[in-house]
Amino acid sequence: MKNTFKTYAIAAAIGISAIGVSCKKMLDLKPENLTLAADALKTTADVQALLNSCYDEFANLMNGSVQNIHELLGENVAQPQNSAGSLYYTIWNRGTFSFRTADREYLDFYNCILRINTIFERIDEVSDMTPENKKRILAEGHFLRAWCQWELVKLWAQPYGYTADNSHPGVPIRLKADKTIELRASVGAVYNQVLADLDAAIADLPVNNNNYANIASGKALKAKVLFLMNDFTGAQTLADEIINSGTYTFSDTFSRFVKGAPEEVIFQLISTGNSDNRGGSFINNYRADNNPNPVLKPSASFAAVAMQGHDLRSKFYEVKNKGKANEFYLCHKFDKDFFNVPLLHLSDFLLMRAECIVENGGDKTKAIADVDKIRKRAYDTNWVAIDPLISLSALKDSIRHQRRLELAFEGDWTLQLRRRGAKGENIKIRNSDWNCPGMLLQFSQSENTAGFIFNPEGGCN
Amino acid sequence: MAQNPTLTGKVKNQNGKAVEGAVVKTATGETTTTTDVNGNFSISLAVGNYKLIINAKDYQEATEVVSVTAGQTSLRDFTINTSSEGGEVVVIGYGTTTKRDLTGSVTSLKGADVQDMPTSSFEAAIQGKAPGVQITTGSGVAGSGTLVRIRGVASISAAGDPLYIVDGIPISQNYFVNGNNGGFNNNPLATLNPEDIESIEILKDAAATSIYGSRGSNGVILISTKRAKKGGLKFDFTSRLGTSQPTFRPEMLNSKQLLQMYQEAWENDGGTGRAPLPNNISWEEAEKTNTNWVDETMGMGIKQMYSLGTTYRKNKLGVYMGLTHDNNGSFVIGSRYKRNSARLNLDYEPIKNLTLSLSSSYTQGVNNRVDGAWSGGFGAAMSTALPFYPIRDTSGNYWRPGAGSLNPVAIRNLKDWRTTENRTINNFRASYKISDKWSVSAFGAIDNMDFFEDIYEPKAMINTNHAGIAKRSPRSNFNYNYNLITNYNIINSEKQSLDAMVGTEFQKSVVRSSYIEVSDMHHALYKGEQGDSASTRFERKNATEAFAFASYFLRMNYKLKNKYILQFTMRTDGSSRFGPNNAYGFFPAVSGAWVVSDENFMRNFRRNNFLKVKAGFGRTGNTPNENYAWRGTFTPPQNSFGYNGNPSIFPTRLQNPDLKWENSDVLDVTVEGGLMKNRITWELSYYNKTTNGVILDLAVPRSLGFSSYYDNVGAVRNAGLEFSFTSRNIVKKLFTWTTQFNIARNYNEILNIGVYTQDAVSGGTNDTRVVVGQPIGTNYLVRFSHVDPATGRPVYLDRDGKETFTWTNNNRVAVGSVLPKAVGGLTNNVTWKNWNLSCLFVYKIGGNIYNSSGKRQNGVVTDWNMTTDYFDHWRQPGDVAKYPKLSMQTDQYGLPPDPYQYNTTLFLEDGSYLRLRNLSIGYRIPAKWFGKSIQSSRITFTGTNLLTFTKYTGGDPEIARDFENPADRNMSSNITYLTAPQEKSYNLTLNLTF
Repeated sequence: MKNTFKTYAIAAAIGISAIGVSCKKMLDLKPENLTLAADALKTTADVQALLNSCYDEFANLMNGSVQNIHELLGENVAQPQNSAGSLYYTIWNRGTFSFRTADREYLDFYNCILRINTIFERIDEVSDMTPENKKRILAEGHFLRAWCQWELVKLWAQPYGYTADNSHPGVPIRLKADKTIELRASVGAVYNQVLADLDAAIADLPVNNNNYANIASGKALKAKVLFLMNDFTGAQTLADEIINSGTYTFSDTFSRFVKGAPEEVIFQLISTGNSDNRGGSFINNYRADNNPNPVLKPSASFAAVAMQGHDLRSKFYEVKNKGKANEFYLCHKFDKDFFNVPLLHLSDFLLMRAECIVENGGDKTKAIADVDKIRKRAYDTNWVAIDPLISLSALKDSIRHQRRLELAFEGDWTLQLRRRGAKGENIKIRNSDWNCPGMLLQFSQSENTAGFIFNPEGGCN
Repeated sequence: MAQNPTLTGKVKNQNGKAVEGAVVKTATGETTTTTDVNGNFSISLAVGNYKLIINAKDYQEATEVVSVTAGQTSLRDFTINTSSEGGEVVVIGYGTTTKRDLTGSVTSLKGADVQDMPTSSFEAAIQGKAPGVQITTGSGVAGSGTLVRIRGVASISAAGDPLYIVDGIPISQNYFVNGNNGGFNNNPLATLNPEDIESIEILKDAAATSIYGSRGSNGVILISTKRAKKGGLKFDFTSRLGTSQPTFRPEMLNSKQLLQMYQEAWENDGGTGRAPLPNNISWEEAEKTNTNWVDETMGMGIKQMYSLGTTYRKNKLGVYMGLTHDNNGSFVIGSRYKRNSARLNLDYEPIKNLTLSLSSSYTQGVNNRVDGAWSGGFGAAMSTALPFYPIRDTSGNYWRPGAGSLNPVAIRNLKDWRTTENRTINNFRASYKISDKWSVSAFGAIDNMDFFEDIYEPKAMINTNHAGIAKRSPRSNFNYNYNLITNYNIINSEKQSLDAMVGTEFQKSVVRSSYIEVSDMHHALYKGEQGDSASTRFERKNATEAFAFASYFLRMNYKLKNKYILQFTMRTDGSSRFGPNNAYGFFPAVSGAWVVSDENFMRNFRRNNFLKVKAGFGRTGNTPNENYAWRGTFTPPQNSFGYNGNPSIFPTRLQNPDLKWENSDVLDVTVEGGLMKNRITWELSYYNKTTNGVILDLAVPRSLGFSSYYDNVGAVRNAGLEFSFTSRNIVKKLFTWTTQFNIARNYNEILNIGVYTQDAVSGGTNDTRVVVGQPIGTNYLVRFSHVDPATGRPVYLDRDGKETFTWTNNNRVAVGSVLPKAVGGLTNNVTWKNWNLSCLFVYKIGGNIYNSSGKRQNGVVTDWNMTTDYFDHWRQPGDVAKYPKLSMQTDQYGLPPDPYQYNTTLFLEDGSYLRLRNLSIGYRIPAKWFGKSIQSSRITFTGTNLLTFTKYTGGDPEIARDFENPADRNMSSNITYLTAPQEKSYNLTLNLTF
């Protein structure tokens, strides 16, 4: 009996401890098909792949998604259909609120920033990183972080210049990949961060970088930022540099939304095929050759400006049910299966430089030359040069008119109107003040933490 | 005179323990003896057959026939069962005890308690029968899930369901195996055959549940299946036939009424001419059509069940076999749940003191699915399927303008949709009694479920020139555990006993899933995989998910003078769901019981009465639902499309190595008693449960770069009272009447949620929030004041209570909760001769219902149908009406440009109800009708949900809608969104034992 007792006691003890001995291993279950964060960034290729994902995410935002929001807030598109729960309908009515706003865009821009900050924090963990690669990767990170932060502040805050010291609330600035909650920084602080990132990018970006950001992209983006800050001197200097570099050539065709690499394009989003289409949100919402009733259509006021004879660009637009109560317009600018999306291109900078020259009281003939390049391409054989004696104010109107037509539905015009309003011009956007609260998107309810200031709502209609 | 032979033996209880002081006497009362401390007795009897009666305090009287032979000392042992006063056997974690010795809070139900009602899943039949257990049956859709809450809900993002353990294995219980696809959550418990259940124990407090440690926080439900008992071969056959009808039919507008409403809205908005109608329907067409979509989607279902149970017990072998076929047709046309189930339970003693037990079951559940709720079907009949839409166009084809859900009949008939679950639950136990004091047991179990969802969409449905598309989502869940347990009786004297149990256990669950899509098919994949020549097959394997628990546990029971009982339990759990910083949790509990009526000072009282006090304090826990919530992860390169032709990787979750157990500290005090020789028994309990480190899947500020994050934030308190009594009002030979009543009041409060606001966690798309100082599942809504008689516009209240025409989410306030104030049930059983009548009322007091679809039905006029209740709307100045003027414009209601935002208290109602849950009338057919071949037979007529008393105007007040995730399940019971009503059924059951 004693022996039996011993045998069983030992057996039980072994059995019980057997589980204990292997417990740690048995509980260390790792997810299949996912890499653990600690193991994810071991090589330069890993970091490069993470950086590539930032471009990927950024491209999926600038595929029309963000541009469409600016257009919906402005005067170029007609009211989308009133279908319940439609975000576009809510944005067009300038009625976003914390339960229905552009959550996806807000999150994804910050997710892109999170990825970049992860690179910044972990790049030194990689053993095979050359100094050149590190310099380039960090510079591209600064470039993309600046751009994401800038896109956020444009949608969720009043423009630069809305207050004299730009102390009005902007968006949270995120410089770390952690869980610390940041409140809204002032618009001035956000722009300072954007410019600091761009300067860091310009300092280290390479001259050539395949389809990724190069030094010209950095400068071009900074020019756009400065222009929107009404810093015409800074914007003109950079626009001059880009235009005069000779790297980019003004093309004969005004269609920049194509599959290849147009010679006037400085930076574009790359689509490699139907299933890798970075123009999806333009195509899905505007495309009219295979859809009689697209979600987004030009407004009557835009059509009245754009559908004038002799302008080759008017071929982009079509009237339906002409003269009837249910007359509406279609936009054919994006009637393709896929294309690259040009975000920085020479047409923009020609118009920018022209306007800057006028604003800075510079050489009028130079401004006329710039805008006439655009006009000549648009009016072709019907082109008539601008009278050199044109008044500065009329010249500015002409430049802005061309900007509205040339960059139509690219998300530019509404921002220009808001910029001009901040500069002190008397601007109405679709019958409402340029700075009415509804021109800003509301923050998602998830931002509702202690001290977070939400945007006022309504007041635009 | 020759000396009489001697009969000697031992009297033991059902646990094999010696019973001291048992009286053994002949039926005539001539000869009597009493057992000693070891239960032994010796009695001198003349040769012959005797009927012996064994009596012992706290035990049921037992009668046995013995033969006494000349010149021999006969040996005979007796086993007696503890009495209902406190001796009833109760299954507890890793063992059994008696009700008398129980220190924790446990409700025991017999299998018959869940077999008396025709529910497709056993847990639905618990409703009203267990105090403190709130059961909300999903809906009348076949196979739908049930919401079970034990003593409130303590978790928010982690699952709030109790842990279900079948014959020792914690079964996989994922309600979201198929998300809420089609407006429906799969019920993981539907594959457990109610006919196999012997007993159900519901463990409620820490004294009872802490032995399950990390997963006992929301209570534990132990299910024991049938095993062979005494007696040779016995068959039990049950057949049931029944009907299924809705308890409520939504009253939607017909064509004429709806057209009038459209026109009125149009004219109110300043429109001239005829109102535009949705989907380009002309008025001429609309006036010619009047489809009653409710009738087209809800009818009467037929239910059938056939069950054969066989038990055999002889010598060392016990066998139970069960075969059941269930076929539950729902009133929702096209919805049906079929179940075929087989079970084999074996018990065998190959050598003395060694018992081997095997339990094995296999069930196939086939659910014929239709869309419901927001996904279409009857949900469309209550919303987007308008009465002026035809089923078929003039050519005889299904009328299908774009969005498919506009014609639910077409979708139902075209789409072949079914889910199949093949589940097998098996366990094997070997128990060896080393000595009278010491035993060991080894246990291993496997619970495997293979789940397939098959959807076939023919070309007529998806508007293609090709053949249709067949989709299949297979998912297998392999779950196993094993444990080693040893029991040792350290002290066993006349006055005191001390028992110890030590054990260790490991459990692992692995889920594998994939998705298959085959184009150009002519049928669903369950009918074969052969498509036409153009078929292409796509298959994606999803990430495998797994979790594991490794545990040690200990229980010590000390009993003094059979009236002071002390229990200590502890469990250490290690979980794969936490990082190394917090992998292990410790869950102790101490509890005691005092049989007050056994004290001398109660001598006069105890003769006819029983009184016991018990109290316990301990800790239980919970883990997040996600398996890898603490780990920081990146996508691997092969899973990403990349950019510019180059690969990309990116973080998918930030690491939180500090994520830890959600801990509940639970105090329970219970007093139980019996009066008038236990003609009345009662129990009163108080509990207080504080849950700290509540796991929240936080909706964090999106500026962090991610949208949600698991963290331990905040605290929740549940406190309550439970009372139950059973009264045997009349106990006569031919007439008995028993009443059972229970009521439970639970108080629930969120004590804090850290730095986060009420929107940090939301109940899915529903308007319940987490508000400090309020219960989980607080309705957080803008208050609707009244309809302005002058303008017909809705008047809201702002946060300060001032009237305003403008709705803004800043004016949302806490306006009550979906959690009830009290729930319970009242059962009456009457028997008279061969007849019996049983009647169960269940009730719920308090708890709001939010009719979330009401805001679209009876709100801004859109492309939804309306209910007849909407006739009570404002028409002209001076009108006092329930609803505002009709308008198609959101700004007329002061809303943002989105009619979905009309979430106001206008659609919030009191959800109290009293329901005749079950009424059955049975007749026991006299045995002489069949002769000897049939031992007993019975015919029963049962009606369920026959009557409901409620003030709720929106339909059926018992609501558990389809949920999006565990947080939604915890927070949004009683929110209805086109949810199907419950089922009313009439059934006829025949039971034969032979």
